[in-house]
Amino acid sequence: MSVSSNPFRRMPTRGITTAPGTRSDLRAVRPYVDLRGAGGAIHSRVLLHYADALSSGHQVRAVFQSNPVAHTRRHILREARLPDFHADHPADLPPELRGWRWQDLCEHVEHWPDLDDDTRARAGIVLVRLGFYATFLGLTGPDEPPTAIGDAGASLLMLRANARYKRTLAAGEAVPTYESLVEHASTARSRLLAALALAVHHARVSRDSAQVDAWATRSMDLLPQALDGGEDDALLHSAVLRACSFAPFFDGDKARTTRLLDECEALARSAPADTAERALAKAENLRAVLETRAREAQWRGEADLALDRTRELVDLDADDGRAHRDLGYLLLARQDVEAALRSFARSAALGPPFAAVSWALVARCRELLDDPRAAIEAYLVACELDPGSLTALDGVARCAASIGDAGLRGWALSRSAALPALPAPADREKETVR
Amino acid sequence: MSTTRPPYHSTGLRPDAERPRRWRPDERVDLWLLGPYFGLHEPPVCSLHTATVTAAYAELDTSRPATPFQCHTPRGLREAVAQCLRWPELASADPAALPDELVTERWRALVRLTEHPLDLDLETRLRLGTLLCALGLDACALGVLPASTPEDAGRDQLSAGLAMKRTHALVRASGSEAARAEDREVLTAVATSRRLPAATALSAALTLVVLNAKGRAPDVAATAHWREVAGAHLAGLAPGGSWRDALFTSAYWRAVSYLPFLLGDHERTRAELDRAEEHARDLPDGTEQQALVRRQNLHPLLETRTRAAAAANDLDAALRYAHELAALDPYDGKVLLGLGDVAMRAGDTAAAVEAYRRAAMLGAPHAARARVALGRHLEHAGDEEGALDSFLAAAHADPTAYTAVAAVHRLAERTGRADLADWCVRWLADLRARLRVRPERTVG
Repeated sequence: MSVSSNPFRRMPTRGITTAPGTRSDLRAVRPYVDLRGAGGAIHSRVLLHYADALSSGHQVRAVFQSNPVAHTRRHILREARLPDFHADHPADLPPELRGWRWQDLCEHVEHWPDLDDDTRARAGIVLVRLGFYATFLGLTGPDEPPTAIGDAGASLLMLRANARYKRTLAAGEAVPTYESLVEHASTARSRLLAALALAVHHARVSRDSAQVDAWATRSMDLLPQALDGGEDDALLHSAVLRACSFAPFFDGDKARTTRLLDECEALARSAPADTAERALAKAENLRAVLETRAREAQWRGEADLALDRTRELVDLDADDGRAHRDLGYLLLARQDVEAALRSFARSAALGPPFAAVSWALVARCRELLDDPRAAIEAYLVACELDPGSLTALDGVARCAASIGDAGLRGWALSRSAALPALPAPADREKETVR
Repeated sequence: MSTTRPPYHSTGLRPDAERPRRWRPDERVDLWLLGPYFGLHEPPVCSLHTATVTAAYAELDTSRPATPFQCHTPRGLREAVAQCLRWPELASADPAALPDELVTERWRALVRLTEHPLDLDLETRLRLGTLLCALGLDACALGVLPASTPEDAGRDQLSAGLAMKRTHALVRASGSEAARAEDREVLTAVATSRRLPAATALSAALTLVVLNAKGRAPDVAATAHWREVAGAHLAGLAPGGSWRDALFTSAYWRAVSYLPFLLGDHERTRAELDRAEEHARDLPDGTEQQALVRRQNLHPLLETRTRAAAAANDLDAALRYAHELAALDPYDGKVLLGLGDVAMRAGDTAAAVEAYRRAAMLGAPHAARARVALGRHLEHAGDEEGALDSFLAAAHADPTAYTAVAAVHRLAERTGRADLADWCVRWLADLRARLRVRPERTVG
């Protein structure tokens, strides 16, 4: 068979054309599709790690913090145009499309009453990361009064709160559960994790500086009791300091923010990576730290430092499209359009869930480089991936007009006109792909 | 702690956005441009071969005169689009199996007609067969067109049309040698019939000229024979006849120029194509039908002129014809690929890149090849990262783009992208497992 020939032309194509394995743009997030794959973005590897732990029966001891955006799997499937993989319940996925880990997950769900709390917590994490909020909430029943509850039980309640929030995106949905757990969880570690979740929640969602400060302080108070002198202490300590840095940030105290993050980063780098699990948890934490530190540097006006930190982040999580996209944003802000274009192109090639946005950014850069034909090509890919993309359709219309292609411009304008109106700007915050 | 980011607005990012689904007909530009093939949609612009579908549908009304279409559906179009869009249902040979989101009232009417062909008169069956063949639904056309013998074909114009359309559909649907033999028998019967109008016999003879001249082993003697037969029929057309006769005259000179071309006589080829072009440019365009036929006739002519000029190493002329063809049929990706290839050969890299970009922009089914061409250009220019992006985009545009994946593998190894190199190896392993073929050598 010669390299230039295509032996597949004459073959029946159904399986080939729809198989996720034939798509380079799914390699980074494949676990979300069917719990297959290996490697990929750090958050994908965390999902695989939990799924592996569920299948093997191993406990997960390390602290993992990544919390994928609500409906990440659905967004991936929508952008990847894989409707056959859509499922409202894990068992809805046809058996022939399931990876073996997915099959194991289904069996755990089926035998939920027989599972202990540790196993339920692991299965719950996989379910919630995959976006099966209703499934998980249905399995775990109504919230029990959180009195003297152990680590596994606390973990399940926190997961329930997270699932309720992800399902509704109602800002206060998770808060009462976290607050109860800070008071009633039986171990300091669980109380700390709940306080930490509250600090992060108020920093990201309610953006209430007084609440951030209060829960950051509470986290710091709980920290000494939660540290047990074990291998995971550095990472836990680092995570707490990162959350605490949001409080001085909201107060505009740059010196204190930087001091906390210096210590946070040093701890993150010193965390052990002697097992696969710890190495993954360390990478996940360091990724979050670098992201925060890049924003901190940007806030302080130290653009070069922000760029260096983002570049390190990209090296650390090279298969995460968002990392490349964010590096592109920084480069674009520095007017380095060609370098930004390369970052956005890398992000676009990594596929969902950031492919449409990234292709639109590739197109924008090509426009800035005065290449409207290449820009249209990229805008059209963005339209294929996200037919609701007003940004891409506007770009097509603009660039088509500039090259005198009335037909294409007409298509873009009629498509835009047919789309439903966007909600008011205040509500758009929730829609942003972070 | 935020940076200024270009805003991205989309109605698809709502938390309650709908579940994953395929595209609606106007949601991607290729599906929109090819809308007539997949639901009898009516885009305001499309390629000339796509325009055949729309016109053939309108001509189901037999009170309208039938158009002598000159641009035909590229073979395997439905399969290629289905493959590129990763939407296997688009390749179905059964019009009733078209995905619901693409079905229009016009398509439903078509499906109803195909369900009861015996209730239709023969003229309508011919028109319906023409439409189904234009749609690439050749197997379905066979169910509509009555079986006939070569003797039937030579009897009258309607029988000839039905028989030729049927064996044409048979060849495209089965591709077997028996089908080809049957097709040639029917064409021979029509081309040699004394009972048929000269234009009908001429059309069959010209088809035989082309069939014998094309392919890997052209039959020069047979080409010469059918050229002679066609010439006799051409002489039988009424002098100063209708615009249709002028069309047949242009088609005659274009088809018969294959003979000097096969004999390597570039001078005579050019002279005969000059005559074809002269008649083609004289065709009227006063009515919608005439305008379509005039443009459709110019399309294969300019394509032939481009090839003939390139074969004669007259790259300036080849590029001129290719540019004219791209201006004539700006929504046909294959035309743009052709322009890109000629421009590249002529050393006009800027024109080549522009043509490939536009072909890529028009999407399925030619985007993957266009992106491979762009990738090769970028690689040659030393932009390995840009080339890698382009080859990856090609692999995305066509899930069986073997050449693109091979190039990704080569560049991934060269640039130290182990993740991509690994993906390429798994891609190949996956496909080999599915296809159960054992390659003679591995990629790279």
